[in-house]
Amino acid sequence: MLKSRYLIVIALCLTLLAACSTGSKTSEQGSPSPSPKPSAGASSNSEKPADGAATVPEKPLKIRMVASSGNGQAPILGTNVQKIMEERFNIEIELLPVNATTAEPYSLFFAQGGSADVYLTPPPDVNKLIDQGLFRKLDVNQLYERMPVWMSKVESLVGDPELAKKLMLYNGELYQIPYTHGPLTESGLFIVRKDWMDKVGITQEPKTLDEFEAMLKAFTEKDPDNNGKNDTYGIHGGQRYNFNYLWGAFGFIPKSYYARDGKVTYTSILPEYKEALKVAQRWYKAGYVDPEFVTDDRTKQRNKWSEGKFGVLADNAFWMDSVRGENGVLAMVELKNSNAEFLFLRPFTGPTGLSGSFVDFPDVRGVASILFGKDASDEVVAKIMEMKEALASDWDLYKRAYYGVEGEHYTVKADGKLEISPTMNNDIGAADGLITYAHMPITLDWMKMTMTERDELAHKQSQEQPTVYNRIDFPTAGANIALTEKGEDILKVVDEYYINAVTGKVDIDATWDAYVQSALKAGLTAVLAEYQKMYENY
Amino acid sequence: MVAINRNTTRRWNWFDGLITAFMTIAVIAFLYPFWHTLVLSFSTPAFATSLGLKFIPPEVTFDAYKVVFQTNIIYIGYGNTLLRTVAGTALTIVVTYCAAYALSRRSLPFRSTLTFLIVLTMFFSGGLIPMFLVMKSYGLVGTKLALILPMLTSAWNILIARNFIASIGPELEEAALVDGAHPLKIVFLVMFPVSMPIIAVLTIWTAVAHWNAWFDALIYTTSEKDIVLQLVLRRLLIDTQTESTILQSTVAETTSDTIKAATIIVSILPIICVYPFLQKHFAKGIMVGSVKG
Repeated sequence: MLKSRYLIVIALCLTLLAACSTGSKTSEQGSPSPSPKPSAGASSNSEKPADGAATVPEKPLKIRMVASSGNGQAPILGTNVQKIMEERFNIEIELLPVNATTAEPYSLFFAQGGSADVYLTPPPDVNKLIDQGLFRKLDVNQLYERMPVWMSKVESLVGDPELAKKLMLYNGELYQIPYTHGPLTESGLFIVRKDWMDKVGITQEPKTLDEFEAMLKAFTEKDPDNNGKNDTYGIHGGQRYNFNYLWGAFGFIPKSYYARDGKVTYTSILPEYKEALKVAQRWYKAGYVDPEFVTDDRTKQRNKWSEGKFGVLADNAFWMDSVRGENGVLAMVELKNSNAEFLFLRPFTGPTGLSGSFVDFPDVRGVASILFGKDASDEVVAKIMEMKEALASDWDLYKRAYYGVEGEHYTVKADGKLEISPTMNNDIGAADGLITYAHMPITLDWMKMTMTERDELAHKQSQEQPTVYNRIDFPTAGANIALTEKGEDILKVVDEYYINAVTGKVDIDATWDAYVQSALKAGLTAVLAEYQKMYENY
Repeated sequence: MVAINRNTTRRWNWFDGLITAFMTIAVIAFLYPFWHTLVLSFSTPAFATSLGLKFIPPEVTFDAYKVVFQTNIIYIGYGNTLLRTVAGTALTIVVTYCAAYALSRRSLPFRSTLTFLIVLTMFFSGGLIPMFLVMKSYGLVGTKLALILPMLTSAWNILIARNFIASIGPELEEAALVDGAHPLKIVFLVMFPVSMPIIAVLTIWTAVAHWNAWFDALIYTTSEKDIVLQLVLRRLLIDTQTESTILQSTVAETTSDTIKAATIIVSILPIICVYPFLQKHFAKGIMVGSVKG
């Protein structure tokens, strides 16, 4: 017995020793492959002959990259687009075998000590990694000097150059080339069945909340689908955009943090929210809202929409594009009903004259905003900026890098627009190297090259109509710690009250004060206090 | 000839009726989701997006299956999953059986120590990052072996097999020894064939585990060539759900419900067909390993 106990202890010690020795070996290995210091190689590459004209071709600049591919796997090496980029910019790309599209493999890459020169897309928890010193700082002036077209596109998408400047910094420093693109900055749209409007005798587009309510009433009560049954609703009321313009008519989006008159407030405890809830409750009680809106998922909502069960769908222009095929929210109705017609409703005004549509507060440090490893040389940064600026300003380069080869991946129509081949899919694109290098802040002028006239109309309206911000409406330097801790608890209180209020289970006037108190107690007070500090110090 | 006693047949009473009704409802509730997916895979997009329960599609179409079989990725995924299932299961059986046989022999030196160490691994695990670092130091990350080797042994499997082998009487082994058989011959030619119930159990468990495994493929494989079937499914069904991932591409592919359903059917059909036939071995073998003589 004693002998076996000793043996167990010895065996455990041996196991521990084995683990420790493996640990030191791994830390020596560090990154997946030995990397010569890029700056050492780069400085000799950038030397030019004294007479200014390069008589000997410069050696290509080696760049170790982490990128995401269009098909959810690690990007493929040696693709056609990679070769095009290498030739045009005189670089040699070493793509690391990291699946940057999925969080777990990307995090593991950093956890086991991996590093690269360029990260074409940021990892999860990028702020924490920046705090650990994994990325180098960039010069804001250089950014604007070297990437004027890129920055002007970003500014036009964000809507305010000053705001764009604030949003791209982390703790006052620039670490990432800012990125956003059209689909992310477009506000939601109410799609209305125009054929229903014609059937119930509404000739004018509703411009006020009252006119909209009258339309919902007509959709519910006047049998707009002409089937003799009282089985239609005005609006569904569920999912991400739920009652969109209704909130905008009161000047806010629920569950968001707004700065009003120097004070940070939470929209779901504002008196305006109370008034908007009362309107929604009135609609629900009158039967204009689908009672299953609370539990329906997006598939169910869209199935009902395609079957013509309600007259107003709150969605995003992205889902209306013809490239979505039969999954597009307009195509799915037309598939079953060739008489269906659609109107893209503009945000209507509320009792105080306000209007707006749901749009996420701009974020320029999200997907495809580029980071550089802490040892990346200035030459590498300059080269990547050159490459990205070219993609933002040269339509032919972008077309090749994003959409592919004419005749193979797309065809050009008579009006010059591109038609994506029906056999095209993400895997074919990834094999050619499409999308991987090509992310740039695309604006409507280039987006419309793959759009029909109707698509263009939807996107144009989404980009130009008045908006109200979702989540937050002021820039912040870092993360709100109280929000990460208490956010879920606050949402529990808010969501429960929202559902009870809209479905008429509670009397809004009678229960309002208790609700506000319980939200504050659940942690909202701490979150607001911290946001107030962040707002004042920024 | 034995006379059949007719009085042994019990008459049906209300309790039997209740149980039958309850079990019928349960069976329908369990089977309907599979049936729904099957119907969806053979239906037109219009029927797929219609409301209500779907029992029989009005129009049967193979379009979704055509799309699924046209993409290369499903074949690559199938190939890799079949490879890891067959090779992985075979190797696991051999390794597990060898370990179990050795541990079952009372004459093995330090038998209780070794058993204790193996059992210890059932309770403690390093976690994701140490595991990844170990695989990396062996140079296995990015290879297909990373999907097979870590699953070669499981403490639980070894213990169950050990108990079963220990319950086989010593007479068989003694007889083989007397006849002058080499130990290896005893293990593989004498003991192995007798242990078929536990081999069947281990085969089923390991094969299903390999077929369903996706997380190890997610973190250890980097190339498209090594993708497994479950990852293909995951990409199709989950990665396209969140708004933020979809909005990344202006020409993003969005998959219709019929294609998703067809991919699911193609992925689970082999296991569903094979599993019921192995069921009887499973039922017999699982209890045998746990009963000590």
